[in-house]
Amino acid sequence: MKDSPPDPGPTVQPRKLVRLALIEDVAEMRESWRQLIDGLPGFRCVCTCASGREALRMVPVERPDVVVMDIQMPGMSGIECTVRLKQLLPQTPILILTVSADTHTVFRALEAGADGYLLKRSRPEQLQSAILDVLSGGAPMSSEIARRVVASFRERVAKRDETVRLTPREEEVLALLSKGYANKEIADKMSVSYETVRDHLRKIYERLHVHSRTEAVAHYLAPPPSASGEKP
Amino acid sequence: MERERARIASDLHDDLGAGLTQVTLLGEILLQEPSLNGAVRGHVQKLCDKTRSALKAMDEIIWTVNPRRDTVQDFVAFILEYAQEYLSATAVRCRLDVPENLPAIPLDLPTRRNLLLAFKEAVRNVASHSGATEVFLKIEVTAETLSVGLLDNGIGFALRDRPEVRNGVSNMQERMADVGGNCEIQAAPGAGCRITFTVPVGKSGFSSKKWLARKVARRFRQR
Repeated sequence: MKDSPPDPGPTVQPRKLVRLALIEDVAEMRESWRQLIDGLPGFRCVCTCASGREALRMVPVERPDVVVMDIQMPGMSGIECTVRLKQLLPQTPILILTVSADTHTVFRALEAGADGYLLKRSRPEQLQSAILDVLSGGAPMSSEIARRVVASFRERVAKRDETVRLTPREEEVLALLSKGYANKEIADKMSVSYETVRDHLRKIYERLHVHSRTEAVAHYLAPPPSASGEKP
Repeated sequence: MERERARIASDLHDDLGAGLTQVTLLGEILLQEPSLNGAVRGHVQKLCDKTRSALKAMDEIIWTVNPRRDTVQDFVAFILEYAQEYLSATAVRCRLDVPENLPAIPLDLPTRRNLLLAFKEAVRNVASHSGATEVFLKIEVTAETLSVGLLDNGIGFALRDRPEVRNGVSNMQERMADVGGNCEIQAAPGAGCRITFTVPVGKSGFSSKKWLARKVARRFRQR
C-alpha cells in the first residue's frame, strides 16, 4: 500500500460538514437518498454516481470524506467498485448499503475493502451514526462476521499463507466478539481501554483487506474493463 | 422447482424490496419537513416503521426459501443474527456458544422453517416472560443432528402455571415433532430455563415428502 497515490484521508472535525459520495444505479432511489442525506444536519452529498464506472471517475476528483455504495448494480458491482476505489483512495472509508443482512454478501464486501455496512432499511439516525463512527476510526463488527474472519484466517494458515496473520490479542478480541460480547465488555475482560479494542478491530479489518485484496484485485482486475456490458 | 424458488426469491428481493425501500426513503424525507404538523408526522412515522417491518419480514421469507442458503452453516448464522438483533432492544444480553467450523450439510425447507419459528418463539419467551438478564445460545452439530439450545438465567417457570407459556411450548413441541425432531425443556421456578431443539440433518434429515405425510397423518388423528 506504500506505493498508492497520496491520499490525505478524512480530516473531519466533529462540527465540520461531512462530504459524502453516493453510488446507486436506480435514478429514483439515488435522488431520494441524496435528498435524505442533504436533509441530515452536518451532512452534504457532494457527488452522486449512477454506476461503478462513473464512481471511479468522479470520486477521486470530488474527494469526499466517505463513500456510500449500493451493492447490487448492473455492470460493475458495488463490491468490484469498492476494490477499485480502495486502490485509488485507500484512506477514504466506504460504507456498503445492502437490502439484506446476508453474511455471505456482507463478508465479501468487507473483504473487498469496505469499512462497514448498513441495511437499506436502517433509520436515518442509524445511517448518520454509522457514518460518524467510521469517520472517527470505528470498525463495527458483528459476532457472525467475527466468526467468519477467524475462519478465513485459519484457512490461510492451513494453506501455509502466513503473510498476514492475527496477533494473539486480535484473536482474543475476535473470540470474545463471536461469543456475543460488546466492545465495552471486551475492554473490561481484557483490562484494556475501549479505544484499544477499537484499534485492534481496525487492525483486523486492515489485515483482512490486505490479505484479500491481492486476491480480489487479481480476480476483478484481471480482464481490462470493457466499455460494453454497462448501461450508459 | 428449486430454480423456480430461487427465481421467485430474487424477484421478490429486487422488485418488492426496492419498492418498499423507496417508500421508507420518501417517508423519511417527508419527516425532515419542519412544517409537518404533529398528527401527520405521527402517521408518516408509523408508515415508515410499518414499511421497515415489512422489509424485514420479506428478508426473512426470502432467506427461508432461498435454496442457495440451505445449509446448517447458513441457518445458524441467520438465527444467531436474528436473536442478537431482537434481544439488543431488550435488557437480555445474548451470549453465543458456537463451534468454530459449522458444516455445510443441507437442511431442508420444512426443517428450516419449523426450527426457525420454534426458535423465534423461544427467544420471544426469554425476552418477555423470563426476567432473565442473560441467555446463552448453544449450537451443537453431529453427523446426524443439529441442536439449538437456549439457557437463560431468569425466574424459570412451572409449566402448568402459565397458560400462555404452555401454549407456546406445545407449539414448539409440535413444530419439532413435524420434522422428526424434539424439544426438551428443563425449567423450575427460580432456576432459569433451558430449551433444546434437536432436528435430524444430512442423510437422516427430513424430506419434504416425509414432512407432508406426517403433517397429513396428524391432521387426520386430530379429527
